Formats: sequence, structure tokens, C-alpha cells
Amino acid sequence: MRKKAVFIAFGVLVLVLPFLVRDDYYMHLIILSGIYSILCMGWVLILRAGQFSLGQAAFLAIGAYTSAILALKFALSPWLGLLAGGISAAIVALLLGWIVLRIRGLYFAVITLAFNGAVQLIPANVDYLGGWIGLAPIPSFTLGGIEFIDKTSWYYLILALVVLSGLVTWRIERSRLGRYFKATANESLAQSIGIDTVGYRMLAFVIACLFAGLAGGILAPYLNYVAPGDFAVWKSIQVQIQSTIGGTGSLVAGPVTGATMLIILGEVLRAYAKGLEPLLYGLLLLVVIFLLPDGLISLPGIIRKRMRIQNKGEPQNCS
Amino acid sequence: MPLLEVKEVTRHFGGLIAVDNVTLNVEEGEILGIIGPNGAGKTTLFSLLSGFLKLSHGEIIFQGKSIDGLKAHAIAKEGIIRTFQQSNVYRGETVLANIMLACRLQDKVGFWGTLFNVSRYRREEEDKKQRATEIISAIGLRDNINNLAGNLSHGQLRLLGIAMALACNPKLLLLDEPVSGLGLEEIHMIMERIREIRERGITVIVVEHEMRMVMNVCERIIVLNFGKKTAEGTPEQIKGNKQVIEAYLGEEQG
Repeated sequence: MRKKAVFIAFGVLVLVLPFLVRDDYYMHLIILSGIYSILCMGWVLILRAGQFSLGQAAFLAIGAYTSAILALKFALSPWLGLLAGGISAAIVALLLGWIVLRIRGLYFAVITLAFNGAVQLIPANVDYLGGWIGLAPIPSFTLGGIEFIDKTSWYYLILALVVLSGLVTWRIERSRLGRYFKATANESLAQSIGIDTVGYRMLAFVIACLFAGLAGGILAPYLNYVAPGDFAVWKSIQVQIQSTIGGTGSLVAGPVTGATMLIILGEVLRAYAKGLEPLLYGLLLLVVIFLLPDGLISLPGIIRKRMRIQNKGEPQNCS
Repeated sequence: MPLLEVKEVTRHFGGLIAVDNVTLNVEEGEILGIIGPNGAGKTTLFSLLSGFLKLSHGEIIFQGKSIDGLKAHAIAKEGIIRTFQQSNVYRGETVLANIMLACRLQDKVGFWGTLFNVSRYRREEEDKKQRATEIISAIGLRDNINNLAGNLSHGQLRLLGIAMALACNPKLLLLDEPVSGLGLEEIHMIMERIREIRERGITVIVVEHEMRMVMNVCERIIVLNFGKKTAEGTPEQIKGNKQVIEAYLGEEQG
């Protein structure tokens, strides 16, 4: 009952957030948190199916560039670009996955990392794609004749995608799909009971990359430009660290918490000491691994447990 | 027509020939034992039958259809289910969760139905839970249904492994050393279960070192030695086979 109340309160807070945070810069950070939340949810989904991806920013890039090219070179609606961004990222994931999902562990991580590097270098070296400078200005979304200019409208757009991908991952987690994903970890046993381990890994990978691509389709018109610098390997590593810090035991709460916390902390830190962001990530990762192996989302449970133990020590407090 | 036809099957690893030109038939409803010294190629043969290894030469025909080139999960779907030597189960999951995972092959509702939590999906999961509970009761793990598999005893783990295989609705069950390392009482219990499985019309192949068990349960025995089939017959015939005694039983009886 109390859990439900907390959940509803949280939902209301999320819905009215733009009216509470009236600062454009903070809204910008919250919107970025949304983009990273989507990437992180996908990352944990891939992890659940037993693979460690270090290339999620590549799929964000594919979505962003697809939408940018369709808008700038073909004058198509950004809504179409958004859809095409997601689909093209999913198709690339299907092709890449077909080759590399048989490979496990460290090799998969290294291949996705290399893939990220390669995807970043393609637009950087193709004039048609704008080189290192990138493509601009990408037209904004319009809905019912109103153009998306203020942060509030972008906030609700990205919120819709966060909720959609959150619902999908949440349903996967709660249903037998999540259990089958998890079961693939024991490859021989899973296959012996008829679970197509490569197929399930492919499913997780394609779903994650579909949402990463959709996020890219929002990111490009939101930023007004796309440039290779925004899709560096470091971004993919950030996704992994954010998810780990948030907690990989849950497919939704952990990744969203981790992404939001670190984007905001990282930006705040950047305002005071530029270039220290990687240090923050590294230190926080170490602290979490040693002190909170189940991530930030395990914190409330630990605190509650501590409090219960303390209360037991003082029985006079129990009324 | 035999249920399973193994035709001149060979598998080598580099220069080592693990299974050498083995031909055998398995009739529907029988319990076949495969025995042989360590390294005779028994487990390799199982891995070939279940698709975990690819054949170097030969052909395997199941229910009149070649299963050559099928992946392990696809062969499981055809109805050949194997167990593993070291009780391979999901130790971090409960007994019930293990069995429900193993019921996956009977899933009918697809990806979208599951994602949207349609009533057909919920009903299917309810039915599955009931079926899993029945399987657990039949194998004798009712009292442990909600325990983590990691907390089970050796004998119970073996039972769970067999129960998981049964949950897949096999036509042919491959048991890899189901009683190795178990005590006498547990061996008797598992022998009893294997007989019950056959009563249900499931064909069983057992690879085993424990002689009393093989002689007791199996109707027909095949002897492998250095990857080759060296003898075949009823337990009585095998006990009397001179070659077998030399190669295998002789050592056992000192």
C-alpha cells in the first residue's frame, strides 16, 4: 500500500517536473538523463541475456544520424526520422548480432567497443555526413502546428520514450521472457531444455538497440546538430558505469537512477572542474562495487534493515 | 522403424578419435544402457545425439528424420533431451522455477502476447505452474518445491535434473551417469524413477559406470571401448561376454 503511494507520488512528481524546475540548464540535464536512462535500460537488458556491451553509443549515433540525414538531405519530417532512427539501429544490431552474438564475454565487449569506434569514424571521414563538424541545423519536431522549442515540450517527448522503453523492459523483467534471458547464462543447460540462447541474446540486443536508436532520433533534433564527438567510446563506457552504479539487479529502476544521478553529478562537477568527469565515474564505480555491490537502488533496503535492527535494540520505541 | 538410428557415426578431436564408426538402433520404449571404461566415448556420443557436438562422419536419424546439423536447442525441440554428469541446474533458482524454465518448449503464447500480458499468457503460466508441481511431486521433491536448488542434496539434485528433462516432454531421454557418486538408497530411488519414466512411454538411454544399476534397469546394453562398439546384448549376454569382462568388468571385479 505504502509502496503504491510512493509510486504515485513519484509519477506525479515526474509529470509536473518542468513546472518545478524552471531553469533551462537543469531541464537540459534532465532531458539528457532521459536519453541515458534509455541507453542504460537497454544495456542492463543485454547484460541480463549474458552479454557485456561497450557500444551502445554507436546505436544512439545511428539513430541520430539517420534522423539528421532524413531531415536535412531529404526534407522528411523528424517524426519519420525518429522512427527510421530506431529501425535502422535495430537492423544494424541484427546484422552485427548475427556475427558477434555467438561470441561471449570479453570478446563481445571488445568487438562492440571497436564497433563504436568505427561507427564514430564513418561520419567523421565522410563529407556528405558533415565530417567532424557534423550536420546542422536539424529541424525540430512539430505537433499540431506547435514547434518544439522550449525545454518542457522536449521533456515530455523524451519522457514518453523513457516510459515506453521502461514499460517494455519492465514487462520483460516481470514475465517469463526475463527468466529465459537470465537462463541463457548457463548456456549448455539452457540449450538442453530447448532455449535458443543465441536467439534470446539477439532479442535483447535488438530491443536495446531499437530504443537507443529512437533516443538518437530525439537527440539530433533536440541538440539541433549531430557531430561524431557526441558518440565517442567514452559515452558507451558511461552507460555501463551508470548502470552498474544504479544497480543491474533491476532492469528499470537501477539504470534510470544511475543515469540520472551521474548525468547531473557529472555536469555539476564539470561546472567547477572541467575534465574531472571520468575521475568521478571511476571513483563512484569503485565505491559502489566495494560498498554497494547491488547498486544505489539497494540503498533504501539496506537503510530500512539497519533501522529495524536499531528499533529492535530499543523495544520501548515500539508502540 | 527404430526411434533412433545411429549410422556409422564418427567424431574426432584433432587426431583423437573419440567415437569411432558407431552404429546402433534404439527401439521405442526400451531402456538402453551404454557402458565402457573412462574415455570410451560415451559422453561424446551423448553430445553428438543431443547436438552439443557436430558429427565428423555418419548420420543420426530420429523418428525417420535426419537431425544432422540441427543445433542443440532445436534437437531438444524434436524430443531428444539430455541430462548432464554434474547435476547441471539453476542453483540460484527454486525447484519450481527450475522446472518452469524447463517447461519452455510447451510455450504457445509468443513474444507480443507475453509482453502485453494477455490473459492467454497468464493462463498458460498458471497451467505451467500446475504441471510443474505435478512433475515435482511425481519425482519426489514436493517438500522442496520452494527451496533453492543450490540447497538440495546430491541425490535431490540428480532428481531435479531428471525432472527438468521430463518437463521438456522428451520422446528420448539421455541420462548421463544419473547415479554416479550417490549412495545405495539414492541409487535405488533413481532406478525406480527411471522405470517409471519408461512406463510413461519415454525411451531412455543411460550412460553409467555403476554396474548393478545398469544390469538391473537396462534391457539391452551396448559396450563402448576406445570409441568403438565392442559388444551388444542383454545384461545376461554382456555379463558372459569374454571381451567385455576383459575390457571392463574384469577390472571392476578385480
